[in-house]
Amino acid sequence: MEWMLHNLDEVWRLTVEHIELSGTALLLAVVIALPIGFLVAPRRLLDLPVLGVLGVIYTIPSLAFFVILIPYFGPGFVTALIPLVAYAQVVLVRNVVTGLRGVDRDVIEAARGMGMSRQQILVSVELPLAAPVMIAGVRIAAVSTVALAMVAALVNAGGLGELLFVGVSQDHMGKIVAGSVAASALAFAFNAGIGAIEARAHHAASGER
Amino acid sequence: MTLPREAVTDGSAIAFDGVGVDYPGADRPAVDGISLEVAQGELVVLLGPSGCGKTTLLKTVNRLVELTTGRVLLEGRDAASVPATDLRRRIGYAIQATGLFPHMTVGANIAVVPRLLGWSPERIEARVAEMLELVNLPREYAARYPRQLSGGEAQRVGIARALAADPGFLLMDEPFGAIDAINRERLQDGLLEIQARLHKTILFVTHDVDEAVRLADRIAVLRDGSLVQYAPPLELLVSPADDFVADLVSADDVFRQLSLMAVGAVMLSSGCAPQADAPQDALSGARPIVRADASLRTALTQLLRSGADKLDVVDERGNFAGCLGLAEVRRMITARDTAHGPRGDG
Repeated sequence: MEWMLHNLDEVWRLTVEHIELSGTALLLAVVIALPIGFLVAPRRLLDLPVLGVLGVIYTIPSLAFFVILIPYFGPGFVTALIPLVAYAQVVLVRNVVTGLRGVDRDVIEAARGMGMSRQQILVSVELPLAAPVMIAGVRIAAVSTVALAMVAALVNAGGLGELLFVGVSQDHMGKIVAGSVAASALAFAFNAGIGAIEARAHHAASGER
Repeated sequence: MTLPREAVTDGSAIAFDGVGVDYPGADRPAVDGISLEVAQGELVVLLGPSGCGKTTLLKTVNRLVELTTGRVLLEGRDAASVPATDLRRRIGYAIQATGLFPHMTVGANIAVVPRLLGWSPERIEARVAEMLELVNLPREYAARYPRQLSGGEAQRVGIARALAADPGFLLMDEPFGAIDAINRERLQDGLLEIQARLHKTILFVTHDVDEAVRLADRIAVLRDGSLVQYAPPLELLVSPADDFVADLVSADDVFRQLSLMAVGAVMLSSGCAPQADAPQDALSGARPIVRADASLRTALTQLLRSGADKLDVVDERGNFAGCLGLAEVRRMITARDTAHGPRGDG
């Protein structure tokens, strides 16, 4: 802890790097997962192939996944980003699908019966009502992305993982503690921040504002 | 077996013309070649046991269900000739589960179709207030959310929402099916009041015979996807087409028949005078009185309860019109029975 307090600048710099990497990964992951989820939700036949493939990706050992991309993208940000985005898909797509399927069928039937178009139903009925479950998926994915991004330091993508790995190789307990504490705090912050948004979405969806 | 085009375009608001619906994998059509016309301003009930095709038939009107054969004409125009979303915005739709949007206020729920049609905010706001008044809910309810409503209130909002854009047609799919008996009667009365004011063409699905008899101008009885009988309620009770209809509507239920007959049609208008020589405004102090437009069931209840041997019948202005005793009620019932024979004997 003492090392951490004396090197706050360094810890802060790596924390910002960590946020950049996991934030970008998360954003990109959501952008990809939404259309996949929209596609799968009304088609149960796609459950097995799509969620199956995403599940298999999730089981790839993280170290191997990062290292295998180095020949293609070289060490650095992009190589770290791809596995993070891929790992997040399983949780995100599943929650998008679950959220959309959880919308009361009678509500959608009424929306159709009143002459709303497919898009209007998606945007003004399904999305707001599915939002709490979708955002819960983002929250879970965020926590695991922050943790996984520690490994990214091994492919030269920076972040708090650097403290951890350098600390281990130098047998420097102060750096190991600093890296772990900062990463935990970050995961906690993501969880709480997104959790607050989730709660608001839940209130809005159930008319409890 | 399709009707000639002229036959279905003249005057009828909704015309089913050989309508058939097949669901994939089902062993028989859900709807099997039904032809049926609904006049402008008429309230027609589709009645039958579950699985008879009544809801499917209803949904062919706003094309939530696509036809396999035949066509549906709305005011003479083929419903399939209009884009489905445009068509649906002109047809009110109310369902048992209400389908209210839980994330929108009552006001926003009522405003859905007007907003889709691009009404101005001022016009929408005025319309929401008007609709709440129509269904007997306080104006403040516009700011509430569906979860804050009772079942009956939610159903009223559902009806207000269905009527918001002033559609010519209203489709109602067991709208009061999940409501307790007392509130259901209130909602039924409310619907009749609204109908008396607005004269919409209404298709109403139910499996509840009492509800059908109370509301309908005409009842279409369905069984296994086919139309069995299409007639006004009293005719259905008095001369059911077959045993299925007779059982379904309990045609031999005398009280149900009496509830559909008006006092005015049975009373003695000559040969009886207001009791004693009491002046007309003192009638109420003498024999019990009943209005000519009340049902015989109401009159019979009054006869039995008061112990009087005759009721004075008055018109809507309160003027003496005739009188009615047990003998007249009994004559009406036996006349029905001899005209049509007791059911089941042949």
